[in-house]
This record gives sequence, C-alpha cells and structure tokens, in this order.
Amino acid sequence: MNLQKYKTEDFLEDKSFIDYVLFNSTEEGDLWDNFQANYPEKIKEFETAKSILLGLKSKEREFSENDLEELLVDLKGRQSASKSIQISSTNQNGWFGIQKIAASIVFILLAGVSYWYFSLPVEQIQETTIAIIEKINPKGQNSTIKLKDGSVVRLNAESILRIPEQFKSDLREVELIGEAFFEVAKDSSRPFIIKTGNIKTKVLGTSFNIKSYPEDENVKIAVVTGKVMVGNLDSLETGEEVLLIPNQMATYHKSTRLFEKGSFNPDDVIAWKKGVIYFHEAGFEEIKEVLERWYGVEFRVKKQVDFGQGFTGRFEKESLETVLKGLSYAADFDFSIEKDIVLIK
Amino acid sequence: MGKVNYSSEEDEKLWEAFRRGSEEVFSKIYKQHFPSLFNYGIKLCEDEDLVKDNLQELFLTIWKNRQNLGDAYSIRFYLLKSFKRKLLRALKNHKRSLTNRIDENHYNFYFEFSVEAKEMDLERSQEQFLLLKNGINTLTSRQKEAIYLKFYNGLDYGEIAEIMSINIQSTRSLVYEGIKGLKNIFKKK
Repeated sequence: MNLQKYKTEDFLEDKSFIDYVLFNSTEEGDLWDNFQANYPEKIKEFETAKSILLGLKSKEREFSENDLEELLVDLKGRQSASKSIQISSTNQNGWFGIQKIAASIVFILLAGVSYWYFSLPVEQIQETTIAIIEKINPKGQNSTIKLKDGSVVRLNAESILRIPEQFKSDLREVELIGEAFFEVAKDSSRPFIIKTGNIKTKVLGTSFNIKSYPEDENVKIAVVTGKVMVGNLDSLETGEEVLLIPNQMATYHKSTRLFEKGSFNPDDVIAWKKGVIYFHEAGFEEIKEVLERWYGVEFRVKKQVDFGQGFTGRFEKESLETVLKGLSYAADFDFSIEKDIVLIK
Repeated sequence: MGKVNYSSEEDEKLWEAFRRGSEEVFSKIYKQHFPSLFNYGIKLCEDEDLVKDNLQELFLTIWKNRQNLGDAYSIRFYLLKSFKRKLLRALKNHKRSLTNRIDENHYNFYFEFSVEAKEMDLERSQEQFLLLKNGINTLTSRQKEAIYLKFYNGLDYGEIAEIMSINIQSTRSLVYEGIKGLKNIFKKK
C-alpha cells in the first residue's frame, strides 16, 4: 500500500478507509485523521473518495445489545413453539413494537382495497349509451378540468382525457392518453378508474400522476396521497397488480409487460404542473419527446446525441434555448432554433 | 453497525465451534450478523416483518442443521447468500407481494440517499451536494446493490458476483461505472 500513489478508486478499495469514513472505526483512525497533513498532494482524491462514501451513507437500522437479546429470545421461542413458523403476530412489545401494529393496520386496509378491486365487474354493459366528452390539449398547452364529482384533473400538453357526460352510479371511469395529474374526490361507493391503454388504475380519494404517452416505452403512475391499485388488463388472471402508497411509483414496461415499483420525488414527477421540466436518467429520445411536447417544436437530428447513462436535471420556466444550452453542455452537441424547428448538429 | 473487516481465521474458528453445538458461539454469530443481514433484507423488500421472520427462520435452520453445514471461510458471505436466496423465494410466494415478477434477476434494491449537507465537508458547495445526491439516486438498482455489498459488508468482487448471480467482470464494472459517475461530479470544480 503506497498512499502517495493513491487515486480516488484506491481509497474506495481500502477497507480501513471505508471503515474510517462509514463506521468511524478507530483502528488506523490516526492515519486518516492526519492524512491531510501528511499527504497534502493527495487531499483532492482523499476528499472526493470521502464525499462519495458519505454520499452512499445508508439509513441503517441500529440494533442495541438489548434488541439483539430480545431477538434471540424470540428465536428460541420459535424453536420450541412449533415446526412450521407462522408470521408472528403475538410478540407486540419489544422489537418493532408500534411499527408492527401500524404495519398490520396498513395491511388490513390494503387487503380491503385489493378485494374490492377484483370484485369489480370488468365490463359495464350500458356503456355505449353514455356520451363521451373529449378534452384535447395540443403541444405546448396544458389545462385544468373539473369533473362533476369534484375531482380535478390537470392535463399536460399533447394529452387527451375522455370523460363520460355522466358518471355511473357505481363507477367513475375516465380514459387518458398522455399525462395528467389527478386529484380524485373521495367517494367510496364509486371507485375512480383511469384507463390508459391496457392499464387500469383504481383509486379512492387520492392525488397522483399518470404518464402514459403512446410513444413512451413505459407508463408511470406516481402517487402523492392516498392509495392506488394498478393492474394490467392483459394479465388480470395472473394477478399482476401493483399497490401504491404515497411517494411510490409504478413503472409499467410495455415491452416486457412487467411492473416495477419504486419511489419518486413528488416535486420532480409532478414538476410539470409548476412549469418545471424534470429529467431523470433520461436518454436523448425521451428528452426530445418532452421538449417537442413542451415547447410545441419539432427536432431534426443530424448528429446522434448520447447522454451515456442518461441525463438528470431540472429546468424551471426556462426558454427552449436555455434548456438546449444546458443539455448541450452534458452531451456535447450544437443546435439552432428556427421557428418551430430545432436542428441538432 | 459493525465494521467491515473480519478475519477469515476468526470466522473459521467460530464456525467450527458453532457446528460442534456451542450455543454461546451461535449467539455471538447471531448478534454479529443479524443487523447487517436485516439491513440488507430491508433493501430488497421494505417489509420489516417479512425480513425479520425470514431471518429468524434462517438462523433456526442453520442451528438445526449445524452438523450438516459445510465450511464457511466467511460467515458473513455465507449468511448473506443464503439469506438473499431465502428472502427472494419468500417474496415470490408472498401473497401480498406488490410486484409479481420476483426472481434472482428481477427485484428492486431500495437505497436512498440519506446524508445531510452538514455532514459533508463544508468546503463542498451546495451544488456539488445536490449533484451527488442526484447522482446517487440515479444509480441503477444493480449498481446500488453491488456498491452496498462492497462498502457495507466488505465483500470482495467474487463474493458479490456470486450473491448477484453475475460474473466478476460485470460486478467490477457495476461498481466502477457507478463510482465513475459520482467521481466526475467532483472533477468539474
């Protein structure tokens, strides 16, 4: 080990350094504490490695000696109790205590929702007799639509919302092409359903965002408040459904027909509502589509643009030119804007 | 949270004593590894009860089968690997499973950026802090897992590769590419 020759990566391969930064280990602590004084020429690498590690600091649950003793008691109890181990519901003090109770309440609620979801009739017979109203937003324009049940829909650009003139007595169903933010009025006797292609999203009172442009590779449903159940019509029989709680987002990949569940930052996903363009690991194709939609322009691409692992960033109420400048910084391309045409070269 | 370094010699001795039936050593192994296994499990499924139950079952099983277990040069690696396999299987069978497709190649790894600006070096600008935060949140699930296993559990690339069912080369590049992106953030200044 020759510290003089250490690069950032070498620090990150050094277990003693990792222990020092992440776990405040005191072994060799002196070496690292005095590192700056002894190796001034390596400070930059040292600091960068340290920042990266600190950035990777995870919220780890800590267990005290007492917690671990209780867990061992629990373990021994299981050993003698029975051969088949059930998911425990007895041991409510100690361990996770209150969290455990909370978790089971949530589960009961969720179970209720999912039962209700699947007991709904899939098709409604009288559907044909009800007139459908279409709200259409062209490129570069978004709008707010108030529904008769009190729900509010903020419809993004280049998007269509189809609403029945009258909701049914037991169901509120709308159809969306594109992207919208829903604030659904509570009405437990009439679930609210949004059809997007072959995806159905069912909710009680809640607010969430759906992004489902036909040309997108995936459909994204992001929940801000309340609970939402998302299902794929193709695979209802296989039970491919995803339950979402606040700050969770389901991404449905059209190619694999699979849902992926993850978290999201509400400020970012629904940024468009506030005039903010937000990209997360976006490739050029995605960026192009968003900008075409947002600014009502068309791209002519003469030189392929590569964002590598994807571009992440936000633009708040910026001109198209500013946005393109920012992007050209990240991926090295030139551009010009003439009327509605953006030329990438 | 324990340290990353464990000597394999010490592990071998402990494992041997455990296989001979020492309850005391079992407790020691349990206490030493439960926290990190639990924290790893939580990143795979976010369901504390499910993680805890499966972890308890795992320890019960190895206790019952202690005489039939093979050698373990690294107890942590052995436990992590067994636990992951068990937990993914449980997730797959779990009736309440939120996403349906779960197997060794399809699962999420939940790792959130949690450091506060004030914990970072004060010389670092706010901008770099935000970029780092962004950079970490944009790592892929696989990158996060490999990086987590490396830094938080001190596994070597061969061990990580085995736990993630990929080859060593891919493991290296998962970690390397992940770190490279983060490193670039600090280059610009």
